[in-house]
Amino acid sequence: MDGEDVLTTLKILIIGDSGVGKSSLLLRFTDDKFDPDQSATIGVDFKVKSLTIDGNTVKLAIWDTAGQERFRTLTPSYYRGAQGVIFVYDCTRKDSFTRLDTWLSEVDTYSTKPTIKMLVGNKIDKEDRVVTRDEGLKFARRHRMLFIEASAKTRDGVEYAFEELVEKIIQTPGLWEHDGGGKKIKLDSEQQPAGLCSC
Amino acid sequence: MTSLVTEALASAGKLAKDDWNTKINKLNSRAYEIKRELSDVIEETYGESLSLEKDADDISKKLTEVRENADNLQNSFATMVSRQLHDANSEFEQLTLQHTKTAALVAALEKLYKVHCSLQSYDKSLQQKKFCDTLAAIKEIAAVLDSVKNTSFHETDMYKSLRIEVTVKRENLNYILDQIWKKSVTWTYPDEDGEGLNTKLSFNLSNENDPIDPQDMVYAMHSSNILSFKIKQFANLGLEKVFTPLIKNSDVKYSTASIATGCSISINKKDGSLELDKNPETHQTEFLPELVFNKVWGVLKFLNDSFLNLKLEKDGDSTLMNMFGNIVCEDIMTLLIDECLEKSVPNSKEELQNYDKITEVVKNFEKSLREIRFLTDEEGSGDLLAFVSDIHVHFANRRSTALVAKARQIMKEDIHETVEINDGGKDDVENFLSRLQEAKSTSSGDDQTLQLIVPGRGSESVGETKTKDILQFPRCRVSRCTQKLVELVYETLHEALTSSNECAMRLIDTVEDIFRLYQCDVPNLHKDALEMLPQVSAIHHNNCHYIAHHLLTVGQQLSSRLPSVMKGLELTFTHHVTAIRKLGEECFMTQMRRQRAQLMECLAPLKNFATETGADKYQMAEKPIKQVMYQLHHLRKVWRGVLPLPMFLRSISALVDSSIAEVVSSICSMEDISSDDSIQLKTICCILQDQLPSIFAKPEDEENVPGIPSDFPFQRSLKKWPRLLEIIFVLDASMREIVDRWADGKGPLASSFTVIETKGLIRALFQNTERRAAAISKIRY
Repeated sequence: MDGEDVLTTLKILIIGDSGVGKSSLLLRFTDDKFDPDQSATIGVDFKVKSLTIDGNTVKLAIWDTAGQERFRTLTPSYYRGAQGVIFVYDCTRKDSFTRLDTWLSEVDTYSTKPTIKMLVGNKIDKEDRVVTRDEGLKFARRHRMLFIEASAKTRDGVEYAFEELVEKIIQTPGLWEHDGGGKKIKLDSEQQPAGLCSC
Repeated sequence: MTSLVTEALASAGKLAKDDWNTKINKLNSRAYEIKRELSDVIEETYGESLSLEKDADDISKKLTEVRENADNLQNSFATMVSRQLHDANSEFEQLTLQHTKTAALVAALEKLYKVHCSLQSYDKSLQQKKFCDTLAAIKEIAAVLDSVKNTSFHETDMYKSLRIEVTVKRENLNYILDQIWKKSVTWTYPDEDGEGLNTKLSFNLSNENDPIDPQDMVYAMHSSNILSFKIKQFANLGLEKVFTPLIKNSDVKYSTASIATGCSISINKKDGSLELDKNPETHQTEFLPELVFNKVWGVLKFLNDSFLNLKLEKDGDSTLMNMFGNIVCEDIMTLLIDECLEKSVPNSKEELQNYDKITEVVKNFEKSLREIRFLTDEEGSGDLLAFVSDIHVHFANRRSTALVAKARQIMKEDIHETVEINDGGKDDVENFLSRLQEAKSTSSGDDQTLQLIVPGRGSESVGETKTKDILQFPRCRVSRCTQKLVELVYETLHEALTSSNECAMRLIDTVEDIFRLYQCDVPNLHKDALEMLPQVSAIHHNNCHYIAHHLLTVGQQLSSRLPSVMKGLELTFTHHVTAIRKLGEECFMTQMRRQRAQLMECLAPLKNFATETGADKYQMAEKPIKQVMYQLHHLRKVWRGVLPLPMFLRSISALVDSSIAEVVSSICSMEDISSDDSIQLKTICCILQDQLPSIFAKPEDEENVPGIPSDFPFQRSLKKWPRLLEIIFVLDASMREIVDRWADGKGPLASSFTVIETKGLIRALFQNTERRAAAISKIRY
C-alpha cells in the first residue's frame, strides 16, 4: 500500500545552530504545522515523508539533529549514508550564519560519500533580519550549495527547499541508484544471513 | 806392428823383474840387521831386571821375620797391662757411689731443715695474721717437696705425710682468708624471693680486736688463686643488688656511711618503701640520664675508695677494681645503654640538638671510670661513648620506627571519614605546610624551608594556566586518614631536609617504607569494607590517586634541597605512582564488576517475562526495574560528590548502559509478545526513560558549586540510550511506523537495531500475516 512505485529512500539531515528552526521546518514539511513554542530537540528527531517529483515518488528519511551542543550525540551513524544535508541559519542571527563553517566541517568530517548540500535561511518572516539574501547566496555559491530562503511559520519556501534538494539528488548520477537492495552490509556478523533475505 | 809392441812390452817386463830382484835382496839383508839389533837390545834390558828381582825376594823374607817378632812382643804386653787397668776402674766407681750417697743425705737433711723452718714461719706468721708470709711458707714447703718429687725420696712416709701437711696448711689458710673476707665484706639483702629492696654492703676492714691488713689479705688471696672467685661473687652480687636497681629505677638511691669498723653503702628507694614498683614506666616522666650516671659513678667511687683500690700484687699495677671491672663492665655498660641511654634518645630534633649535654656527661663518666681502672682499654672510646656519638643513627632509627608506627595507625583509621579536596579553595595540605613553614622559620630562623609546590596549586608561581590544568587534582573526597598520611609524609620529608645526613637518609627511606606499607596493608586492613561498600572503594580509589598525585611532584622538589651527601642521588617516589594508582583502580573496578553483576541479577527475571502467565505478571516485570533504579540511585548517593565528577559520570553511565542493554536484549529475545505484554514492556521501558535522567541530575547540595553544569547531557555518555528510545517506539508502533522508522536502513531504528533484531521484534509483536511478511521484507538496507 505504501507505493510499490517508490523509487528510493533518501536520507536527509537537517543541521544548524540551536534555535534556527530546524524542527519547525521539518514539522511544517511533514505535518504542515507550526508550533511557536517548539522545544529544543534532544538527541535526534526522525520523520518519514514521501515526495513525488516528476512522476517519481521518493521516500525521505529525515533526521533532525539537536542544535544545542550538549544535546548532540555525535555518532557516525547520523551521517552514514546521508544523501542530502540541509544547513539552516536564522536570518535574524548573525552568529548562526557565521557558525555555518563549523557545521560544514563537521559534515565533511563524518560523511562517507559526497552529499548534496542545501543552505536554508529561515525566519524571513521576521523584520529584524541581519543576514541579507545576497550574503546567503554568496556563501552557498562558495561552497557549492543550493540556496533558498524560507519561513517555517509562513510556509514560504519550505516545500520548495525539500523538492529542490531531492530533485538535485535524483539528477546527480551515482548518488542513489545503487543504494538499495542490501548492497550495504554492516560488518556485524549477525547481519542478514542469506536465507532470511527475502521473506 | 804387433811384434814391435810385443817387443816393447817384453823388454819392459824384463826390465822390471830385474829391478825387483835387487830390491828384495836389499830388503832381506836389512831385516837380518834389525833382528840382530833387537836381540841385542832385549838381552841388554832383561839381563839387568832379573838380578833386581832376586834382591827383592831376599828383602821380603827378612821383613816377614821382623814382623813376627813384633807381633809376639805386642801380645805379651797387652795381656799384662789390661788386667791391671780393670781393677783400678772398679775401685774408682765404688768410691764415687759412696760420695753420691753422702751428698744426697746432706741435701735431704737440708731440705728437711728448710721445711721445718717454713713450718715454723707458717705458724708464726699465721698467728701474726701476716698472710703473705704464711702463704710464702707454704709455697716454700711445696717447692721443696716438688723438687724431690722424682727421686726415691718421695716414696718415703715422711714425704707423704709432709705432702698431706702442706695441703692441710694450705686449706687452713684459705679457710682463714675466706672467713676474714666474709667478715670484711658483708652483704645484707632480703630473701631471694622477696622483691623488696634494702641492700646494704659493709666493709669491716679495720677491726680493732683483730687487726688485719686488707692489702696483705688481698695479696695472699690473689696469690693463692681464691681472689678471683671471691671478686666474681662480689661483682655478681653488686650487679644484681646494686647496679641493676640503681640504673633501672630512677627513684632508687644509694647512701654511704662510715661505721666503726669501716664504711657501708645502702641501696634504698627514695620514699623508703621496700617494694620496687613493678611498672617502671611510671617513673619515666622525668628521666635524666645524668642522675643515673652520677649514681653509678658514686657507687663505683665508693667501692674504689673503700676497698677495690687495693693492689693485687706487690709489684704490679692492677687493683681489685681491674678485676671487678673486667667482670661487670660489660653488663653495666649494657644496662646503662639499654636502660638509660636508649631512653635518652631524643624524640624530636630540638632534643637532638641539646644532646651535647648528655654526650659531655658520658665522656666524663667514661674518663672517671678509666681513672679508677674500672675500664682498662686505653685506646678508643667505650661502648657508652660509641653509643652517644652514634646518637644521630639511634635518633633516626627511633624516628623511623615511630613514624612507621604512626603511619600504620593512620592507615588503620576508617576510610569513610572523608574530607573534600577542592581545588577551588586552598588545599588543606598546603595550608598545613604553610603553617609548618611559618613555625619553623620563626622558631629557628632556618631559611631552608620547603617551597612545596602543592600539586594543582603550585602552578600559580609558574604562571602557566596550562600547567595548572594538568596538575589539578579534581574535586572529590578523600579519607581524612589519607590526608593525614600525606601530611605526615611531607612533615617527614621536611624534617629530612633539615636533618643530618644519616637522619635524612633514614627518614627518606622511612617515607618509602610508608608507601610500601600502604600498598601492602591498606587492602588487607580494610578488606571487607573495600569489597562490600561501594562508597569505600570509591574513596579508596580517590585516596590512591591523591597519594599518587603528591608522589609525582614531591621527589623532584626535594632533590635540589637534599643534604650534600645525597646530592646527585635521584630522589623520586614516582616508581610508586603506577602501583598505587593501580591499587585504587583495581579495587574500584572490582566494585564495578560486583555492581554490574548485581544489576544483571536483578534483571534476570525479565527473560522469563514472555512465558509467565500469572496475574502478577506486570509486577514481575516492574520489580526488576525498580530494583535496578533503586541500586543505581543508591550508587549515585554514595558516589556523587565522592568520586571526581567525570569519573562518577563515566562509572554510573557504564552501569546504566549495561542495564539498558540487558533490558532491551531481554525484550529482543522474546519470541512472542502479546499486545498486553507490549504495553507492559513499554511501561517498564518508559520508567527507565523517565527515571534514568534523575541519576545524572545535579544534586541540591551542589547547587552553589561553580563549574558543574546544571544539566548533564547524559545522552552523550549513554551509548545505549537511543536503543532504549527505539524499543519504546517499536513496542507501541504499527507495522508501518516501524518500517518507516527503519526507512530502508536510513532511519534511527536501523542505527540502533540490527536487521535480525528488528525482524524478530516484528514477528514477536505481530501476527503472521501477508502484511507482516511484506513489512519484514522491507527491513533491509
